Amino acid sequence: MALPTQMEKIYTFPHVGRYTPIIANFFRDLDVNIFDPPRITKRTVELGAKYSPEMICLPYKLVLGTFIEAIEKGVNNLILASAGNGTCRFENFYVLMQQQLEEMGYDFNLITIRWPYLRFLKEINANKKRIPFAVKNIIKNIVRVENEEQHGHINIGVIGEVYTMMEDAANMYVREKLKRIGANTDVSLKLSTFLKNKFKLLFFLKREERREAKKWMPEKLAGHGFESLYNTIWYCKNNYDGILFVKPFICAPENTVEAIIQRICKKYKKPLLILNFDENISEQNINTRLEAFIECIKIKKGGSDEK
Amino acid sequence: MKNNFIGIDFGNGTFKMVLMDENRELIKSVYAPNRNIIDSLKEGLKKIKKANARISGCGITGVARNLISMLIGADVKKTEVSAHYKGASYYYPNARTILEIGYQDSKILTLDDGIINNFSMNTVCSAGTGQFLVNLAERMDISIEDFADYALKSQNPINISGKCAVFAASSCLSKLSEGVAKEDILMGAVRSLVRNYLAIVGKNVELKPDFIFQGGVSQNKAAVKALEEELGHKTIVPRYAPLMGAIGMAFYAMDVKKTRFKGFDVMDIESSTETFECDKCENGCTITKVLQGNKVIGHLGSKCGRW
Repeated sequence: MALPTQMEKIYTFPHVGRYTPIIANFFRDLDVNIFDPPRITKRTVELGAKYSPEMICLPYKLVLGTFIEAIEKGVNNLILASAGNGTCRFENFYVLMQQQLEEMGYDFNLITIRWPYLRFLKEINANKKRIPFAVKNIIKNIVRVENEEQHGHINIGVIGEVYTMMEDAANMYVREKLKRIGANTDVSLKLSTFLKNKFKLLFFLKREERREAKKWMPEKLAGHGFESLYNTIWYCKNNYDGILFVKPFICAPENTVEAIIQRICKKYKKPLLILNFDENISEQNINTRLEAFIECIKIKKGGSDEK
Repeated sequence: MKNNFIGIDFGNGTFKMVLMDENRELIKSVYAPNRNIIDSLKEGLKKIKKANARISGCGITGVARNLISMLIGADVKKTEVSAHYKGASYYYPNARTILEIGYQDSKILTLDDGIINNFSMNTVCSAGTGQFLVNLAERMDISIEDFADYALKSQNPINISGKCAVFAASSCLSKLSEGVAKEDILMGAVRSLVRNYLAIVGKNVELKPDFIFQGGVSQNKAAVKALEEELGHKTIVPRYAPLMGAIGMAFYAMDVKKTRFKGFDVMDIESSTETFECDKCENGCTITKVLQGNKVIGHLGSKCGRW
């Protein structure tokens, strides 16, 4: 949809948890007029769920809700990542969103981040001279955020669907909740993982675990199913105290590997907690399960003196 | 006077309260349907008071643990998983699997050498919980106490298919209008409950004897029979099976040095709750303000910890 040229272009992008300010900063470094995505609230979730197909996952609903709220606040350019082949329904999301938002009568322009990236940067009118500076800055910031010190006594490895892991509103703030009851979390898929993957630097990481995961599932998996498998093995081998598996209630790739992950955890004798998220889930339920999970691990670690 | 300990398990369906002495003997217990928190609590404390005990510790579990702990001053609060584990593993050190079916929650705990290894809980669905049986009994005008007597008379239990508790209940009722005998329907319902429980909660859990079966549904002899048939092994139903969570909490309370318990008469002070919506941020949490007398003793329900 073409926009009147004299209109000021305001951009926004979906929330990505703790990376949100970093990404906003990156676009600002490129002199892009970016609007910080509005916080995901109850209203965002309700809006998203109302205008989404019923059998779609929570991440879609959250992103759509965020976009609607952003448009209401005057944003007219939406940026959405859309990876190419190998992902789940995610690559179709922008089409569905485009049609839905058009049907609602909004004036907007949906831009997808995809190869070649230079064309994308041209689309958002980025200042090319500032690219090296912006890239340097974002890398520095990502390293800072991902290496935050944690002081808990228990280490939990988080695996599962990528958006549910990264965006706190999609997982009911499990990272914060775990921190409050004294557990450290390591999220298996980070933004840095993606960047490394893009530049083929991931090849040497967790090699043995990948090989073992291939034995569990020799076929190709959609989404990040395969990543969940080898990261589970990695956490098991690296003496993490427990594994937390978060996924949207309806997530084909993760639901496919669920049974294998249970088997892996049984083999390595690691406690596993599976949490499904959608807009109807009760927070009390999630809290009880998380607390019970940590209590379990504490009893196990404490050995016989706790009994 | 000896030291005595209180354990409370405030579940969705019933309210359990026990008084134990330091030799871990049960002195008095209350087992009543959950009407509302304040009335049930008042009634329970009144009954326990008759034992003329000196309280040296108080432990709480169950859904309402946070609120009750504020009202009466609890020393320990834990999730149901830890509570049931603590109770059962004291009486049955050889237990390998603890099966618990309650009103709205059902879980399976697995133990290795008496130490809890992992737990599994129903996630998004109420099939395989006691509420199904309660609703069905109500619809068929049978008291839940007589349920087992009826069901055990059954010669040809019907086959109720489906994983959903709502559909299973409606299939039971349609069988009733087809003229199928009540006892055959009831036994069929119990079997479907047990099958669903093992299919949903027991999925990928290694079930090893000794089996301990506790929680409200364990009082239903038909359910015990159906579970034993499905497992192909005898189960042990502890003498205090429905009270096990409360007993476990009393055990936890025994490690307390100085109790914060406010005394038996604390519930005579007018207690009330007020709810309001917090407007400090976009989250808009519903906050419950807890008042005792005219004093605010605490808040529940905030996501950020402001209250």
